[in-house]
Order: sequence, then C-alpha cells, then structure tokens
Amino acid sequence: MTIAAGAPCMEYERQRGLAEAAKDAGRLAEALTHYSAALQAARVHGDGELVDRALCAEAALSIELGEVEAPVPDLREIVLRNGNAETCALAARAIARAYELKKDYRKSLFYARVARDRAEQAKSGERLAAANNQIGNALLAQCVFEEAAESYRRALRTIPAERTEWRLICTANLGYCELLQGKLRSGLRRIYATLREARRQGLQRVEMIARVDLCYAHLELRRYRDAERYGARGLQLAEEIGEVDLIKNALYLSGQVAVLLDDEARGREIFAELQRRFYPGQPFLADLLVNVDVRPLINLRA
Amino acid sequence: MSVATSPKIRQVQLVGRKIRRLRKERQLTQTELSSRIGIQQSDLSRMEKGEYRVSLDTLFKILAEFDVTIGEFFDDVAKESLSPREVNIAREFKSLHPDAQREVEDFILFKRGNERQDGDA
Repeated sequence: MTIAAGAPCMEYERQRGLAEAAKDAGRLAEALTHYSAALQAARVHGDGELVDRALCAEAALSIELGEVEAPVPDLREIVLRNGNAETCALAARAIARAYELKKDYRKSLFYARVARDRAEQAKSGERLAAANNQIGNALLAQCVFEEAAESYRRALRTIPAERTEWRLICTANLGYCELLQGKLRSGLRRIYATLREARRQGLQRVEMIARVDLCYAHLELRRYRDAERYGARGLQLAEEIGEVDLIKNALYLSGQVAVLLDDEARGREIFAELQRRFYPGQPFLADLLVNVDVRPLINLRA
Repeated sequence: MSVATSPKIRQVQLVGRKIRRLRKERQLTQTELSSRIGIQQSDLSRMEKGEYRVSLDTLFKILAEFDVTIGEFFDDVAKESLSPREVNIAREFKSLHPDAQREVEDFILFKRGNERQDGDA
C-alpha cells in the first residue's frame, strides 16, 4: 500500500535529521548511512517525491565522497521526469558537481545552468546560490573570469547566513577571479577577509585555500616574503588535509617564490619534490620551472 | 593603431603557438589531440590562441603527449622571455638612481670587455 504524496514519514525525517547532523560535524560516511536509510524509509512510505528528494541527498553526498559515476543516471532521470522545480534543481546541481569533480567543466556548466533555471522557478534562494556557485566554478575553470565573478556575486547574495564555510569558499573563489582579472587589491581584500573568518571559525580547509591564494596574490604583487609565508603554511595545511591538487599548487607556487627571492637552490629543491611526488615521468620539470615562469599558463582552479 | 601586449599574455601566446606547431607536425587535428589529453576541442583552440590557462596536470599531460622534453618544449619561450631572476635584475636596475644606473652600465661594459679579451687570448 502506498501513502498519499505529502504525508509525513517520521522515519524519513528522523534519518534525514541524523544525516544532516553527521554531515555538519564532518562525519560524512555516517551521514551517508543515514541518507541511505532515509531513502529506504521514503521507498517504504511510497511517496515518489520524497524518494526523489532522498535520492538526491544520498547521491550528492556520494559524489562528494568520490563516487562520481554511479549516481548520475538516476539523477538525470529525476531532472527529465520530475515536475517539482526544487527537486530538479537538487538533482541537476548534484550532476554538475559530479562533472566538476571529473573536470568535465562544460557538462558541469550545462547542468549547473539547468539547476539555476529550476531554482529560479522554485524561488529557492539556497538552491539558487548553490547553482550560481556551481556555474562560477565551471566558468572559472574554463577561464571565463568576468562571468565567473558575476556568478559568484549572485551566489553570495542568497547563500544562507549560517552556511559559513560555503560563503567563505565562494568569497575566496570570487577573490581569485579578481586576481586573474588584474584586480589585485580587491581580490586580496576578499581573500584576507576569508582567511580571517576561516581562522576565527576554525575552518582549516577554507584557511588552506585562502593561504594558497594569498601566496599567488603576493607573488603577483611582487611581495615575495609574504608570498613565501602564506605558501609555506598553505602547503602545510594541504599536506595535513591531504588535498592533492592544493599540495601541487602550493609546491609549485613556493618553488616560484624561492626562485624570485634569488634562492635558486631552494626553488630547484621544491620543484624537484613536485616532480618526484607527482610527475615522475617528467625529468626536466625542475629545470624548466627554475628557468621559465609558467604562472601565466596556470589556473589554480582548473 | 597597435595595442601593446603584456609580456605575460605574450608568453601564453608563445606557448599556445608552440602547442599548435607540435600538433601540426604530428598531423593531429585539434579534436584528436584534445580527446587524447581529456579536454574539449574548443578549450584546446583557446589554449593555442593564448586565451586559456590550464592546471599543472593538463600542462604536463600535453608535454607527455607530444613526447618532447619540457626543456625542448619551452625552448622557444625561454629564448624570447626573461627568466624570473632576469626580471628581478631588470626591476632592481630600474629602481636605481640614474647615476647608479650609469655605473651599472659601465660595469657591464667593463665585464663584456674582459670577456672579449679572455676570448681573444
């Protein structure tokens, strides 16, 4: 027997609450277990809309945990089939995130725009912020800096006040866009504000992003001692957290700083570490990076 | 009226041109190369025009695909652009008082003269 759509499902609500609490506390594996239980409860309850919502929540977290292939077909089906704009926005945004993690930024942008259109239909500020943030990420990775910056500004207008980490990462991304547009002072101000707030709230992942960005900003401003300091701490945090892309970027920037400080031996040592750990098949990497400044070729968010 | 191009953009364009040349030497279309390195054809097109920045991974993937050493790949770029150390020296020079700049120039001439004498000996 199925229950009429919209009827409350206590077990679904209980599991969803437990999942949200675990997710907010950073216990993602535990949160996934509760989202799966919520999905099961929704299926037993027989409310199709609730099933789709539960599936979106479970899939979104699976994607964050690295499962970027398996959830996409079900999510795509929801986008095509479901008439509820907010559920479609959730599904489309999760697909966009999966493609972002796969570094397929074009498809990510397509689904992020679908998510934005559905969020506008649903008049959901939070969903709209998520979609605009996702659009910004896809555009930034594709070097469309002005439009990316505008998407981040739109996202910042509707990110809920209590979502501090999300708001700060969006602010840092906007700051990085501005750095690449040559608006160094403005970009620097935003990233410093992000760093201060991240430290105040103990958000180490945000602090790591801000410090690596500040290293880049100070390099561009030719303040090499400041760049060195931010790069070193950013690298340390990236190693602690284990974010490989950030480790690579921080190593590269730190090596570049050392060379610009006329410490070629130190620069070569850092570039050699970058080569040894991540590009063992590229034996000339350290030599190249000591001699050619490839900064204008590199997008730290790609 | 010509518009001055910043050195940074010029360097990106140089690398873009090098990628285009290597691709054509290997008789690859943009579509073929882009699918091998896992980026979109239009992004590769922008990269060849010097309008596109990539991740460190992608940059080194391209080099691996062409099977050239990084030194060879950047040879043209290195010849036409200053190293970070050289840029620093030029910047320091510009910040000196004109009298001090003349002294540096005299010193360079002196060193060059010495090198010529050593070469003749």
